Amino acid sequence: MANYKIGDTRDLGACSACGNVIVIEAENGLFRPQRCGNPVKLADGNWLCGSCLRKLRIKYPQEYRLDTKQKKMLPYERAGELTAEEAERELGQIHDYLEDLREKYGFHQAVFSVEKADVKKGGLLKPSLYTVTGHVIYGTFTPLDEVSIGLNGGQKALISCLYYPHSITPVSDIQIQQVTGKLVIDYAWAEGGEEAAFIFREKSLNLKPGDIIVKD
Amino acid sequence: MENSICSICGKTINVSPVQDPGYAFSGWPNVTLKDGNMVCSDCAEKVRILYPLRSSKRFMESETRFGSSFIHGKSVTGKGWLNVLTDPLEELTLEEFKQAQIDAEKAAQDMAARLPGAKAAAEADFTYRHHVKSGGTDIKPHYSDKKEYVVCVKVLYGEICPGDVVSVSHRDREYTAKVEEVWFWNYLDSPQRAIDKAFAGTTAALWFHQDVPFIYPGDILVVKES
Repeated sequence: MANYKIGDTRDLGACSACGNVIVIEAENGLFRPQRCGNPVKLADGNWLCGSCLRKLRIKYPQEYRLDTKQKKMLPYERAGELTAEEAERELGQIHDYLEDLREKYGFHQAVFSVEKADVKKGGLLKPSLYTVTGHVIYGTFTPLDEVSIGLNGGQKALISCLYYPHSITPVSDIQIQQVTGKLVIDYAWAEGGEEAAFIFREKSLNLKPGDIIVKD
Repeated sequence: MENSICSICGKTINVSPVQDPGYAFSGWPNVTLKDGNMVCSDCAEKVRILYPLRSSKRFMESETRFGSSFIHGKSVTGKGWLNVLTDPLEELTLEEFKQAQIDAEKAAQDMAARLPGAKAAAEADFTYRHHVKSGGTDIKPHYSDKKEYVVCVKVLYGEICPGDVVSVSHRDREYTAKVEEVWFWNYLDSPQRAIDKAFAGTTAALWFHQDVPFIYPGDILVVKES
C-alpha cells in the first residue's frame, strides 16, 4: 500500500439538470480527461455537467473565441448563456431536435459543415494535406472514418486525423507520421456541436466553405 | 482475512484487512455501514439504482521523500489530485439501508413502467474508437485495424452483459448492435477493466466490434426481453 496523506475532496455540487455530482479542482482545472466533457457554469451561477452539455451542443454549438489574456483561441460554450431552468427545458426537447436534424440531412449518421479548407500541396509522390475546419452538426467523427462530400454521395475520402481547429501552426506531414499522442488521443473524436479540424491526405479534394461532409 | 456476516441476507463476507482509500476498481465492494454493520456486494447492488458509486477528486500527498508513489493506478510525485470512488451507502445505517431497499425496488418498478418490453436500458454519454499503443521506447498510439468502438453509458434499469443486443430507435428506423464486452467506467477516467455485467445505477463502457454511428449522446440503448 502506498504511503500518502489524504487531503480534502472537492465537490462543486450537483448538475442542475440531471443531479450528477460535479467535481472540481482548486483552480477550476481538469474535470475529465480525454475530452470526456467538462461542466459549464450557467448564466444564473448553477452548473451543468459535461454529459448534459454534450447533449445541448447540437443546438448551442461550441465556438472558439480569442482570449485576450492568453492571446489564443479558446473554446466557448454557448450553452453557458442559459439559466438552469432553460437548460432543463432544452434538454427535454433535444432528442426531437436531433431527430429533426437527421431528417433534414437525409438520415446520414453524422454531418459536418465546412467553414474553411486549407491545402498544403504535396510532391510528385506525396498526397496533399487538406486541413478542413468547421462544425460537427450532429454525430461523431473519428480518425479513419470514410466520409463523403455532399449529401448525395459525392467524392469519398478518409479522415487521417482530427486536429485543433484554430492552430497557429498548420499540421505537417511529419506530425501526422510521428503521431504524437496529442493528435490521436486529444483529438480522438469530434461530436455534435463541436468545432474541429479534419486532416485529409488525398491527391485532390474539392472542398469549399459551406460544403457538407457526411458519414454513414 | 476475517469473516463477517451480511446484515441483510446472512451471507458470509470475506473482509480484506486493509482497503487502500485510493483504490482502483477491483470489483463491486462489500459495504460497511455507518453503524458498523456489513452488507454484501450482492445486496448493495440492488440499491445502486438510487445510491451509485460516486467519482470524486481527492488530494493525495505522497509520503515518499524522493521519487514517486504508485497510488490508485497512477504514479504520483509529491502531491496531486486523483480520481477516487466514494460510496454513499457508507453514510447509511442498517435501518436506512432497509428503507433504501424498498425505495430502490420502487424506483426499478417505475423505470420498468417507463420502458415497457425492456430487460435493461442505458443512457449513452459518448462514443469513441478504441486506440491501442504499440512500439518500444517511442510509444505511439494508433487505431487498430479491428473496428472497436466504446460507448460510455449510465445504466438506468436492469443488467447489461456481454452478448446482449442493444437497440436504439430513431425516426428513420431502429438500429441494433451486439455488446461484446462490458467494462467498468468511473465517469472520470478511461474505462478501467472488464466486468461481468453493468447494473442499474452504474456507469459502464460497452464495447462493440462494429461502428455505431447511430448512437448519439443522450440516446437510450434498450436490451429487449427475448
